[in-house]
Amino acid sequence: MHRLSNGTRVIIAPNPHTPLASIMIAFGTGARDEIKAGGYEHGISHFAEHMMFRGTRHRPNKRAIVGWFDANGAKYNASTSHENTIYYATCVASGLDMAAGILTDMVQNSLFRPEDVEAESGVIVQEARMYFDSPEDHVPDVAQRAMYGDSPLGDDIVGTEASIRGITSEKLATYRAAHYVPRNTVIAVTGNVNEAAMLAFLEQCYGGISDTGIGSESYLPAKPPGEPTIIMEARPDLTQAHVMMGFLGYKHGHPRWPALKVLSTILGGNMSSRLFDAVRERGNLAYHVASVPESYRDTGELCVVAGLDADKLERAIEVIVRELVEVKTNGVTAAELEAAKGCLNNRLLMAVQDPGTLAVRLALSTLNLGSPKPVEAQIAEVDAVEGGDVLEVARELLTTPRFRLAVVSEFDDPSPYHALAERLGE
Amino acid sequence: MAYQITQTSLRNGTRVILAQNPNLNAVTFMVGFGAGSRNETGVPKGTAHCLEHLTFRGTKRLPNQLAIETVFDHMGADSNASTWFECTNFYATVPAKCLPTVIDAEYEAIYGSLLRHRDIRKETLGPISEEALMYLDDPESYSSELFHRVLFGRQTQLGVPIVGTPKTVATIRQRHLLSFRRQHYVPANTVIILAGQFDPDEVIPRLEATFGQRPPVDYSATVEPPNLPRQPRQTAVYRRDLKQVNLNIGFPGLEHNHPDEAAMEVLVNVLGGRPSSRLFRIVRIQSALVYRIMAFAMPFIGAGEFRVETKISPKGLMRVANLILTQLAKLRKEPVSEKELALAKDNLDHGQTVVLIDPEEMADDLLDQILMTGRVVTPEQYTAKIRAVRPDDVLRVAQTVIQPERCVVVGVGPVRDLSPIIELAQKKLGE
Repeated sequence: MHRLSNGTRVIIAPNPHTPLASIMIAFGTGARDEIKAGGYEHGISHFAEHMMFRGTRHRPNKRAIVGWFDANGAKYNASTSHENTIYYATCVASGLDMAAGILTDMVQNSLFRPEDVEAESGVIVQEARMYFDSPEDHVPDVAQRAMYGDSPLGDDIVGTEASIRGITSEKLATYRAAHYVPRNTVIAVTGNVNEAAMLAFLEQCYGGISDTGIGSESYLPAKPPGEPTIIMEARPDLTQAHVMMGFLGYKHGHPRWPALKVLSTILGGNMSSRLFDAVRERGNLAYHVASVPESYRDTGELCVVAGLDADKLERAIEVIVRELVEVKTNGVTAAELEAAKGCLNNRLLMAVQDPGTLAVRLALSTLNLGSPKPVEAQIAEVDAVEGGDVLEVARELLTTPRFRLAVVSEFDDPSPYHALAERLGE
Repeated sequence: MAYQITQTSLRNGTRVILAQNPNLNAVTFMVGFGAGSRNETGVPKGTAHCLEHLTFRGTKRLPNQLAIETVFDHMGADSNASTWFECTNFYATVPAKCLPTVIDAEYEAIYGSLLRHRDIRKETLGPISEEALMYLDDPESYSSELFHRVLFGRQTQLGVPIVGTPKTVATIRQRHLLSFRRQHYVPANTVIILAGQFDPDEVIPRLEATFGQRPPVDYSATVEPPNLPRQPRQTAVYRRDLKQVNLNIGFPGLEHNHPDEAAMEVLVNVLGGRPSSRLFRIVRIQSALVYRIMAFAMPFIGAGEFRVETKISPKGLMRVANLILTQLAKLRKEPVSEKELALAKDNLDHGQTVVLIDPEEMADDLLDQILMTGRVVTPEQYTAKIRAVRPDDVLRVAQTVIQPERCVVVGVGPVRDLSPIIELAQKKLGE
């Protein structure tokens, strides 16, 4: 890991065997950093991300910003999560300096002209309505509330229509000054890149801004409710039940994270997993069921996601709970353990061939853990997981008090699911 | 650093495309058949898709889905299958050393699947019905299916969803699946693609020992033509629970191998294929009334579709429709500028380099090429084709495709009648 003179962390991972290169600028700020008492608004992180494409003093409008990317067939975009905001581009390697120049310009010099802010709020309101209308996109927002309650981590990322419309040019500038600062920034560059030359170039493009601001230490900790929580959102016109069942888990860097990844893979990480077999193949209760682990600065979760047959919703939830009780009672087999490790490690090796994917992993692990996590270290951690570790994680996490459920369907009665949650025990 | 592409065939006639890239550590193995839901003659709608699902339900040696998927998951394979209107493919991306296992497993699954009655029943009542319902719950997919139904005609092979309907799927029996497999999964209709790291000297004998063992038989398939509009059509599906109208405005497009296909690609790119495109700049940036807006063109055998898709609150519906139609009318009236044309060509040309480095994307692209044109179009040939497009080519395509009397408008959401948009289209496009 390198540092620019202002402290910005830079990770460069050259690979001369690809014709492409990728650059990512990641900020450790997201929806949970929008402290309302500080004058910010719900949704301002995501709003700021949109505004970075609306023009800088060097590139006056959106066309001037994206024109070069489009003319070079680059893959580029940005995204905002609860804890991070990232900007990235993958292009033919000869264009990397240009891509780096544009991205660093966007994140430092965007103008936030009031007329652009006004117009963009209309676009973002439409984006929020789009997520609301798609049950698959909406159920994660309901689940976030069920998991983390009335805290910034329990809010959605885009904001409410009222909060979006309340965001102004001044608020955006205040937010940027506080959070888009070197101590809160990681730049990752991968692919066909000259390390020394790129470092010097980044110093020139991004080394000039001073390291003031508050970084990401100011967030409000999650206050998850201490008892099972169920949110049923009724939509009379839906034909399926869109479900997320979560269990409060581990924060970034927790020693049991590798064992949790293995557990999640065995439960619902692929098509030979227990839940896929029990719910889809044997139960005929769904088209889609999977489990995913997630970690945050102070908390985390293991989450089962499913699109279920609404007529057999109770039965499906019962089958899922039964599988969870089974794994915390009897653990996993040696064959399952080996298969899950092979699956995780091979997937990782294949994924990081793509320079864009590698850049995301390096940048986010640096923000979340303090230093970039090498692929080899991740593989070694997974290899070291034993059956007993997986059982311990299952026993610790799959309990009634940690149980959270979000259902978007035609139903609104949570009572059957409270009874099922009790079966998990302490 | 890029792929080296060669074409060969097995002794039974199966076409094999080798795209070698020794700098990758993975390989994508893909088996494609030139038949999909459009080829369901004499069998229920949804048969092709159902056969794809049943492929993973068990063989003699691997008795159930769990046994088959375990083979793939152990390798960390990114594996899947998909059924389209005119083709079906099965693929897996695996670490290079796992390639022999994957070839054997795909072969066994595709030709050795038992297609047991009880599995067919379970699969059609369970996952396949759920998949069909999932598309209905997602307003964007629903609007696309509705567009196909209205554009190509309700009772036509292109007008019915690929997965079929719950009614047709319930009537699928073992004999339908067997007959579809026997007729269409034959060497003359098969293409095998390898993209990534592998040794051709090891791969070809392995393919001969598996896919090469299928007996060669003559293959021919005919598909019925769609019932394309001779006058404008519109359909609205009212959904009070939605905040936005999922709108599609479109026309019949160009068919496969049309001489103007490159000009069509450029037209779509200029209109709505990227963030600097006209629709994005004018409708999204200037009106600030939409978030998502895109243009698409899809060729089929003897038909095609061209459409603009967006999502919009009911209040802004007519204003956005007006802006879209203004842009469509402009394409009919004025040639695109040299500058705009150059940007579109650069985007398409460089974009292929960035996208096709991924072995899965490469395999997908090669499969499309070979099934639709019968030959491989190399990246260099694609570049030459795109670079040759001139402003009057784009104008000609626009005038051929964007015709007011063939305009189709569909919407899913809080709207009951879209005829005002049809009327506006007659006025704007007829000028």
